[in-house]
Amino acid sequence: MSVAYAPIVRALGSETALVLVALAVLTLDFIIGRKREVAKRRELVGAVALFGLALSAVPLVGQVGMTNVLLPGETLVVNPLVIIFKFVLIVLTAVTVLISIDHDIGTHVGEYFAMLLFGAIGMLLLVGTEEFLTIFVALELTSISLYVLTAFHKNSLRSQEAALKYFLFGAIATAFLLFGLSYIYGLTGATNLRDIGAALAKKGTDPLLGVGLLCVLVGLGFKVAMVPFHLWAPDAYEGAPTPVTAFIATGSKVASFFVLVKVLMVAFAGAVGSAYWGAFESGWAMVLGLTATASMVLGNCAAIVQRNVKRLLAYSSIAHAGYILVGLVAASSTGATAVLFYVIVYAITNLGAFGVVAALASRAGGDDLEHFNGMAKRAPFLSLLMLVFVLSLAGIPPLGGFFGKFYLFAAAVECDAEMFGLLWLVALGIVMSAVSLYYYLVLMKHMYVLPAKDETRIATPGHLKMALAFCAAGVVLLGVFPEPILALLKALVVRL
Amino acid sequence: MTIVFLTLSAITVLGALLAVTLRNLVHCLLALVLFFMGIAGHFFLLKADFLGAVQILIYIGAVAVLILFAIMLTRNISGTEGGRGSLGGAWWLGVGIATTLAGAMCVFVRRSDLVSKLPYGATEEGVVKEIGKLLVTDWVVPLEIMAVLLTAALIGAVVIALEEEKKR
Repeated sequence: MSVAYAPIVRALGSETALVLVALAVLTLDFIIGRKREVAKRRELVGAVALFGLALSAVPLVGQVGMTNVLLPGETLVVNPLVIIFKFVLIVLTAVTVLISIDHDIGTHVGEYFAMLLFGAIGMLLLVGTEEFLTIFVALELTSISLYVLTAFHKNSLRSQEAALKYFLFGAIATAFLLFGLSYIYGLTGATNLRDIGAALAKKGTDPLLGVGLLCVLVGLGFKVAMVPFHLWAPDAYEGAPTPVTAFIATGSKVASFFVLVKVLMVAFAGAVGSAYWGAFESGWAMVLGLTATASMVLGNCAAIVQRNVKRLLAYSSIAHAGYILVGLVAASSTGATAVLFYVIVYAITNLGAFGVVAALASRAGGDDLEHFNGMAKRAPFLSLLMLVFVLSLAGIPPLGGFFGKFYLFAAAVECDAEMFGLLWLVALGIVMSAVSLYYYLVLMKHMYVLPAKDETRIATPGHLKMALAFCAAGVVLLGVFPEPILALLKALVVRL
Repeated sequence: MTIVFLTLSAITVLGALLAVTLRNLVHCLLALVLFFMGIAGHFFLLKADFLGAVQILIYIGAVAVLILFAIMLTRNISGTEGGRGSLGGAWWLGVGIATTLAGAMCVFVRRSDLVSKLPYGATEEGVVKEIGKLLVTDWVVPLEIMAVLLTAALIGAVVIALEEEKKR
C-alpha cells in the first residue's frame, strides 16, 4: 500500500511555507535580534513574517481551478471555496502582523510572531479539511497558539488571568468536542464529513447522535463564542495584548464558522430539526436558534454597560455570533452563503476596529472609554476609520455590515416562504441591532464629542495607517459592490 | 467480565474524585496516577493492548513524573501548600450539572440500539503494525499537524515559563 505523497505536499504548500517561516523567524530573532532594541526587532521580525505570509499565498494561486480534489486518506480537500478562505485568513494574519509591529508585545519578539504564524497555520488547515480528526488537531493547534499569545503581556496580571481562563474553558470545550466525535464515529464508523452524512442518511437518527451532535456544538460553540459558551470571551479579549485580541476575534472566528457551516451542512444535513415558530423540532437548527437568541440578547444588553472599549467590542462580537447563527438556522445554501459573506465582512471590520484600539490605546494611556475622549482631534484619520468600522458593525448602509446582516436576515425569512417561521428570530435580530446602535454611538460620542484632557496629537506610523485604511476600504467596497463576491460564494456553496 | 469492569470503573472514578478534592498536591498526583491506571485497565479490557501500553508509558511514565518535577521545582517538595478547600462554594452546582449530564447520557445510551451491535474490541494480531502503517499513509496529515502542534506547544511553554528579559 503506497500513497502518493506529492499531491499532499502540493495541497499543503501554504502551510509548509508558513511552518518554515515561523522557524526562520525564531532563528533570526535569536541570532541577530538579541542585541537590538525591541522596537527594531519587531520591525525586522515582523517584516520577515509579512514576507512569509506573502510567500504562502503563492501556492494558493497554483491551486486555483481545482474543484473538490480529495487527497489520499481524504484528510485534505482543495476547492475554490477553501482557496478563497485561506486567502482571507492570510490577509487577516498579515494585517495582524502589521498591527503587532507597532504594539508593545514584550521582549520575546521572535516567539510572538512564530506563535502568530502557528495559529495561522492551524486556521488554514482547519479550513482545508473535511475530516473530523484533522479538524480536531488543527483546532488544537490554533487554540494552543492563541492561549500562549493571550499570555504574552507577562507583567500584566490581567493578561495571565485571561490566558488561564481561556485555556481552562478551551480545554473543557475540547473535551466535549472529542467526546462528541467519538460517539459520532461509533455511530457511523466514519470520520469524513461526507461519509458521516451518507451513513446518517442511510441509518436514520439514533438517540446517541443527539448526544454527539450536542457535544460537537459545545466544542465549536466555544470557539465562536456563542452564549452560553461565551464566558471566556470578555476576559480574554480584555486581558490579551490588543493585536492578539484582534486575531482571536477575527481569524479564529472565520475558521471556526467555516468549519461549523461545513460540519452542519455536510455531515449533519439529516439532523436539521426546525426552529420555526410554533413548530420546533429537535435538531441543530433548533439548538442554534435558541443560542442565537441568547447570544443576540445577552451580547447586546451586556455591551451597553461596559466602560472598557475592548470589553465592549467583545460583547459586540458575541452579539454578532448570534446574528451569524441566524443565517445558519435557515439551513439553506442561501443561508450558508450569507454566513460566509458576513463572516468575511465581520472579520475585516473587527480587525480594523481592534487595530485602531491597539494603535490609540497604547498612546492614550489605556483602553477605557474615557481614554478615547476627543480622539477626533488627537488622531483624526484613525478616528475616521473607527467611525467606518463602528458604523459597519452597527449595520448602517452603505457599509459591508449592513448588507451582510441584510442577507443573513433575508436568508432566514425566505427559507420558509409560506409561514415565515423564522420571522421571530429576524425580528429579534433587528430589534437587537437597534439596541447595539446605542453603545456604538456612545463610543463615537467619546471620540467625537467629549473634550480630551490632553489635546496633543497622536502620531502613528504609516504602515499601520495603511493596513487599517485597507480594512476600511474593504468594508466600504464589500458594502458598495457586494455582488461579485456574493455570486462567487453562492456558486461555490451550492457545490459544497 | 462485569465484575472486572465495575472494579476498574470504581478505581477510575475514585482516582478522578480524589485528584480534584485532596489538598496536598503530591497526593493529588498519586490519585491522578490511580486514575490513569484505571483508564489503562479499561483499554486492556477492550483488547486495545497497544493503547493500554501507551497509556501507561506516556501518562504514568512521563506525564505524572513531569508533574511531580513541576511540583518539586516550583513549591516545597512535600507539596503541602495546596489552596484552601479545592472545591469552591458553588460545588453543589458543579455536582448538579455533572450528575444531570451523566444521567442524560445514561438514558441515551440505554435507548440506543447501537451499543449491543458494536464489535467488542480488536483481536487481530499485529495491531501496532497496522496503526503504524495507517499513521504514515491515510493519516499522515494529522500526524504532521501533531508535529507542528507539539513544536508550538513547546515554544509556548518555554515563553510562558521564561521571565521577561530586561528591556534594552
